Amino acid sequence: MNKVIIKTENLCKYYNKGQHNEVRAIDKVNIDINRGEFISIIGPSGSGKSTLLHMIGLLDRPTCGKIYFDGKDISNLSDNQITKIRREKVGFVFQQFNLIPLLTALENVELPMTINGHKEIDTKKKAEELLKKVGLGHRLNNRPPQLSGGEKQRVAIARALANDPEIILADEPTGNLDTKTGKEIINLLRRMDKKGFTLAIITHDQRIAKVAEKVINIKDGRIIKEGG
Amino acid sequence: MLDMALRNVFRQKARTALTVLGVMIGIAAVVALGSLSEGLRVQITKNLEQASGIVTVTEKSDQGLFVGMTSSELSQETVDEIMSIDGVRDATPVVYEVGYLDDESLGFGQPTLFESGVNPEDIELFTTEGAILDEGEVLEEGDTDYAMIGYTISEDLDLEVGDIVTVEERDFIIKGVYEEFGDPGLDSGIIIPIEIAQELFERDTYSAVIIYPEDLDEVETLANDIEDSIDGVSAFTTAEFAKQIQGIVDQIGFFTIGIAAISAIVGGLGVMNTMIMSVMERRREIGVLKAIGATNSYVLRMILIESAIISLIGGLIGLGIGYLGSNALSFLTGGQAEGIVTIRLAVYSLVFALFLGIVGGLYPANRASKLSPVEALKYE
Ligand SMILES: Nc1ncnc2c1ncn2[C@@H]1O[C@H](COP(=O)(O)OP(=O)(O)O)[C@@H](O)[C@H]1O
Ligand SMILES: [Mg+2]
Repeated sequence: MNKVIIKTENLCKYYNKGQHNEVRAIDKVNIDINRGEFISIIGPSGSGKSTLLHMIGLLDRPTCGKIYFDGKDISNLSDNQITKIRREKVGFVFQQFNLIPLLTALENVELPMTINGHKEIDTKKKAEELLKKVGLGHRLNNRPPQLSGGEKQRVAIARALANDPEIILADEPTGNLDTKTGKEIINLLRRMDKKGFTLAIITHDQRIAKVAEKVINIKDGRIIKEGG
Repeated sequence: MLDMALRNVFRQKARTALTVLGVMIGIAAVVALGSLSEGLRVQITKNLEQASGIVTVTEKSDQGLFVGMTSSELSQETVDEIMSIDGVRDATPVVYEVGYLDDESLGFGQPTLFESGVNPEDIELFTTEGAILDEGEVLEEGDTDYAMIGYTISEDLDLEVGDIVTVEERDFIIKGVYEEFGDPGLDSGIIIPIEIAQELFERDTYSAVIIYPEDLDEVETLANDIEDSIDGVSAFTTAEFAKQIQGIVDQIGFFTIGIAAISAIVGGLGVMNTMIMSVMERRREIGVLKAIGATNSYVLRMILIESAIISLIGGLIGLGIGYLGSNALSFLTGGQAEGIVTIRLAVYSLVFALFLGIVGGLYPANRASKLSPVEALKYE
């Protein structure tokens, strides 16, 4: 186990490279994320926060530079190998919740386990436990349209935890919630964080940023300030 | 995954129903039309088993026995020559005409009437020793005003022993009615004494001579001998006959099923269209699936299973409708065209439906599997 779970070297993501409308969404970024750390990523809209989060969560490939995940350079891995690492080690939480509307809360949480295909796991039981842990023991069989925003985000968090990831990446998880609910969600995420997860949250909320151990401030695809 | 695919399929109920309908119509057509050629095939096989080892001699014809027999004119001398050839166990001449029943009450689908003149003592030979009397008796020497009829005729005209049947304006008393035999030549046939037939049709020639060889293994040799030693005749064996008929049936089957298959392919295009739309609508969801760890092949399989489900449902309902349609066709044609939905036909049409679904699903499934999760997540 490496102390640094994610390390980037001159990481960049250019859209429409070489054309007149080239966008440097992320430009030569170097960061180290330590295991168990709580990081917040801040910056104006369009500065490249989501792009960075997608790349370090192995959802998107960089146009140049390197990502080391748990010490391993992932640039030469196949799509399937990268998907497997993402599935087992990364949990995503989105601003739009992104639950599957057709499935119940329980089934949504089961899904990453089913896809992962470990037959020995009782997916139903584990999903139930996770939903209880996020305070939704009474909403197991409700579908997303029947849930409030805060409840949806709790389901999403339970789903992110399903395959026991090492890092949780949350992209403005409180962006669609009122202040009070947002606070509860952040508290919930932080409680998970205490149990040894690495947690990275993109946020506009200065109060969240204040409690983070490290703040990465991005503007125009570059880190302008990094500190705790 | 199957459970989720089923739910996805029934998410857009109206659209799925229409797509299923498209496949259903095509498969129903394949089954209904296919059943007719299967019916013909089964009937022919049955007849051939009953009529194995017979040589039928007609006037020389290049058009095969079927056509040959209706226009054939064999003189008395030729018939005598044929019957006296070596290797013949039994032989009997036949006069054969095709007519239509003069019965206005039958209306559309008036059955054809196969009129055969046979020597009364040789009727067993003519019916290839396989037909069973349902009621009455077989014609005897001197029964000039009597006739025997087949199952279909007796059913259609509601005739029984003792009733009168009119052929070419001459009345005959029905002496015997046969059980269903499986060959329209007998089932839709009327048998009268051969001299009467010649009188009725104003001819002194014969249509054919039916020959039973002494040695069943020598059928082909006997047929060749007859053609070699007698001028102006063609000798057909059951095997040749079978080949000819099979060829015709295969052609008919190929053509009709081909037309039906085109409509099924259109149904398959419907599946493709529906799945393309479905994938577009669910782009974001597919992005989510990938974000939580679904591989490209997982997404590919999911979409393929969905299109297979749609086409299989269409195939199953189509099979049911096609089965009903096949029965309806048999009914409308008064049993002349008997459709049989064989297991082979049922399995082929379901496999075809599945094939259409999978082929139709390949393009949308491939597109879905290649979606970039980050791009897909941007869609509302
Ligand atoms: N597919 C794309 N094509 C072109 N530009 C893009 C694409 N995706 C994102 N961008 C641009 O990249 C920049 C960073 O986007 P993003 O990471 O979403 O910002 P943030 O999350 O900080 O609001 C923005 O200017 C955005 O317009
Ligand atoms: Mg963003």
